[in-house]
Amino acid sequence: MKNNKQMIKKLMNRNFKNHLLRNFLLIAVVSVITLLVTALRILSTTTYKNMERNYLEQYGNAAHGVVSGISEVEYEKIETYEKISDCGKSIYIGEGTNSEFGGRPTEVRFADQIYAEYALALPEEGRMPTHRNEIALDSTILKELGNKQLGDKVTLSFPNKDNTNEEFTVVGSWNGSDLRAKRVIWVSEEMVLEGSDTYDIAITFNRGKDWNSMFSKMMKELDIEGKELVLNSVYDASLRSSMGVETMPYKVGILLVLICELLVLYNIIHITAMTDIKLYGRLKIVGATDGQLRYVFLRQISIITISGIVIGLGMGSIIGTFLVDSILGRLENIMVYQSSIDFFTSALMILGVAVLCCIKPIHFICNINTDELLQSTNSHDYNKKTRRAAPSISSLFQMSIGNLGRFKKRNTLTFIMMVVALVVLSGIYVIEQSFDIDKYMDEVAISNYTITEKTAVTSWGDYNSQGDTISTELINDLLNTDEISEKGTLYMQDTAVVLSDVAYENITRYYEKNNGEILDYMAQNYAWIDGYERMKTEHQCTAIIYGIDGVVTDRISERVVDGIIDKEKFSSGDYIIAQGSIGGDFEEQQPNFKVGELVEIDGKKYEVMAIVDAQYPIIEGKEMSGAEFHIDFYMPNLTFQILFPRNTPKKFFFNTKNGKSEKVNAIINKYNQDDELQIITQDSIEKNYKDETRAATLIQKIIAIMMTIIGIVNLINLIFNSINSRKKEFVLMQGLGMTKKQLATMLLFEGTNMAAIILVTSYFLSIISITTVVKFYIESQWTATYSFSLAPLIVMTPFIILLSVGIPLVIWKLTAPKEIADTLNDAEL
Amino acid sequence: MKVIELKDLNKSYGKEPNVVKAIDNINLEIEKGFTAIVGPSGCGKTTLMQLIGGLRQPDSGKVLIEGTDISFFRKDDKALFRRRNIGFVFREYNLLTELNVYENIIFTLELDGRDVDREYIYQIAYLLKLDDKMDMLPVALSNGERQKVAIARALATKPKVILADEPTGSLDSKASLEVAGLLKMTCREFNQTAILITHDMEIADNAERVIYLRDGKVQKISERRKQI
Repeated sequence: MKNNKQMIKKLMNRNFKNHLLRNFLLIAVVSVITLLVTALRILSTTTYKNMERNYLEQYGNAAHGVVSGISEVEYEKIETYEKISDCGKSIYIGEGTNSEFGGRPTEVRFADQIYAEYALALPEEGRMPTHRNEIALDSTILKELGNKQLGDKVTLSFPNKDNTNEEFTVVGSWNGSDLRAKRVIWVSEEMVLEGSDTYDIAITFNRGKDWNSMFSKMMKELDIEGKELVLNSVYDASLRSSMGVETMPYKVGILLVLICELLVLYNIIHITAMTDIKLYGRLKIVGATDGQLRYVFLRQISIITISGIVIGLGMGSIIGTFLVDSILGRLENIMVYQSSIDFFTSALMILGVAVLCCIKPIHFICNINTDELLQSTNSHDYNKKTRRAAPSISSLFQMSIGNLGRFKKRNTLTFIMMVVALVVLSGIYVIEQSFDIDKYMDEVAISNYTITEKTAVTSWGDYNSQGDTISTELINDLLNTDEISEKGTLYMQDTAVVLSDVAYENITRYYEKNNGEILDYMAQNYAWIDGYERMKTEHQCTAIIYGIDGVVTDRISERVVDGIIDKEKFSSGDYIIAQGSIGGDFEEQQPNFKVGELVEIDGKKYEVMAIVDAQYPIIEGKEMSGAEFHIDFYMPNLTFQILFPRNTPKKFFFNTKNGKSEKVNAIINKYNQDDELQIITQDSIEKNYKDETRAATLIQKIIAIMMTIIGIVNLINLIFNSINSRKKEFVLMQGLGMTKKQLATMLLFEGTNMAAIILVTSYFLSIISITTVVKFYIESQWTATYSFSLAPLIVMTPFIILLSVGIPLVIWKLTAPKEIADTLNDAEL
Repeated sequence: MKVIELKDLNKSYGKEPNVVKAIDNINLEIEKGFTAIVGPSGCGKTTLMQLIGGLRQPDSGKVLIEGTDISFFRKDDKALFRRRNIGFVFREYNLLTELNVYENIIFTLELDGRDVDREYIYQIAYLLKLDDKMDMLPVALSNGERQKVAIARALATKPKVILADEPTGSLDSKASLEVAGLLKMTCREFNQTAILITHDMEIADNAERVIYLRDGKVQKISERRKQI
């Protein structure tokens, strides 16, 4: 038994060394697969974690929930409760009211380290304040207070004990985020106002998901009454689910890679088993049991697979990190997440698939008939055919055709994989190229440049209709560059209008159609629902009035749903234009007044000239508080400014004569020293679109390229094994008098036939798929214009031909024995 | 009449210090007819046949086939010479598994671009009792039948010389004698020279002469009822 084991091990080791090229190929395939899986896992985890972090930043807390009004005694009980993982405490002192904060909400608090950490506001430099005159704040506040640093003195205005400004020394700071609606400043416990003896506590549970129930149970057990847990909405299941959807492209990519792994490895492992079949026969002869055969085969495949996995994990980690920046650059302060669990599970999945691929070959190896096997045959095909009908002339070309008919299943699978890869590549290329920037810009930008009032876009506070971002000086300076070819200004103001019966009916019919589908959708927006209900009871609602001129009027005029816009009549001031449903059904009456009706706005009546579906840049941006449910109207700026003389522009649109303008950019830079100017250019919109869609488009490209690479690797492997398994046959033919030129010609014919089958099928299927499925998909996308192309196929054609024709010749040249006679009688082949 | 001449032929394998002298300065003339080469294992029989057939390059010396020195021909020239003048019957049948019997037999003719004389091919097939198996694949044939196909292939090109390297090695005694007899008959029928390597003296007795090889040298040559 001992001798048998040693002999088996010796034979297997020798076999491994004898097939180094094949084994390295397998390692390479596994490495590539592992690299792709690892990179996609990193992208998936990083996307999820960074999105979570961004949501938490917006929310302002990472704990599971916050409870207010907790006493010191209650806090100590909760802190030591068995199901509580962490419990941090904080006391709210007041709001920071420095003028430099520009009205941005800024809380002044005392907190312990744990609370600060969960508030995502733990000092990264320095420490938390411990003495009266110490303070810790984030980088955005430090910047606003005059680019202060650690150790500098700052004056803070907030309600303290003496109700005056107080000077502090900065002892700690961290990177602030513009995502946060509310900022926080930490002070020491000494600054806590008298009478403020209850805490806000941030808690995390160490297990479980139903935190409300766990909290109630905890309160009951600790005999604490009257406290409510405010759950962190970032951990809400539906939000988690939507975050999961963002990572779907990567998960789909991983699944596709694993399917490709299954197809490719199955082929390669099957070929490996067949090539070594005589070896396993000999192992059986020396007494190897089925168990031993299974073990040695699995051991061989496992060693190769694990080697490939290790290489792939390393490379995947590097590539994944590199891809994070390329794909997720749109997310702020992106951090790469690489988890050992991800690596471990990736390795397990790949190894699992490889072992799965071994099942059939192992079964075959264990059931080989050693007598049949040790007879000399040149074929490893188990085709039961015994005759060849209508004997035909075996010319070189016909022999090459006949050779393609060997190993039909294996050849067919390889060709299918290659064809599918090329068809997918072609389709994805056409989809990528279909993005029509003009179509997109038509919808999302009405001009080369758009400047927006800051308060309309910031994540905190309300829109200020009298804001100072778009000043008269800025507009004049821009106009004085002589670079501007056309312009338009947009104003906005809310007011109340009484609805006519027709308008009331139009609105209610629109929002209550299809069993209140839209109302159900808006159910979570309580302010909107509240506004709608008030509209129904009072027959009046908020109207948002937009003042427009120039390019804004021109662009709106392109989107008429009902009526006719006469610009001259419109500018008279007696008419308004109504906004219809956004991107909705234009066959029905729009949810607004109808054309020809009179609308009373602030005491004056205007006739509705037309109804439009205005472009997104005109209607986007924050609404005023209380105006969540509203109907919209457009009036000329001159008329608007009479009604609302103190309003300042919400947006300023302009086109330059020659696209990008250095003079215009210089003016903008001059007014944008503190990065407060909200500028959008066509370039930035295009960049934004690409950033937003980068994940999906890159995944598409990765999948297409990956399938192509795997198809090529499979093809190379097929060719390699085809040549390898016919070495003796080639030598025999040379022994019978076939010259090297004739052998090369036969291999050339074989390669050409292979390339022809792959390419003809690929071209045919690509043309069909592009003109049907791909075209249908593109025409359903509003940002795309269909254009037929076979560019990737044309590029790949010479490569496929070179591969199919060149590789057999190269492999034969590299592996052909020097002496014919050495091979002819060699039963090992 | 001498068909094959070997002059000062040498062939060694391996590198110093493990050099094996497979053929040691052989000088030999082989005449038309059926010749057997016998000797113990490792004596150089197969190497000698491979040198005669141009499947190996000698280290030194000459191999002349009907006066043509093929010793140092280029590979392709040897291949051309082989398919026009030499018919091989290898030890391991070596049929092309994807071709049927007929296609295997005419394979060398096809390589040479020559027209196939179907009558002649079927005559050989009839002689070798293969005429009803012409569309069968090698996998469906017995060992003896496969060997016959190999012989038919060797005869198809009407070669000057047939070289058979242990053609009966894997056959039973009856089949072996049959094959030896066939070779002798075809030799006579088609006026060819056949050289058969064997270690079986019963097979060798069918030959008109027997060349005994030992340690790479010709030990003796035995004509029928004559010994040199």
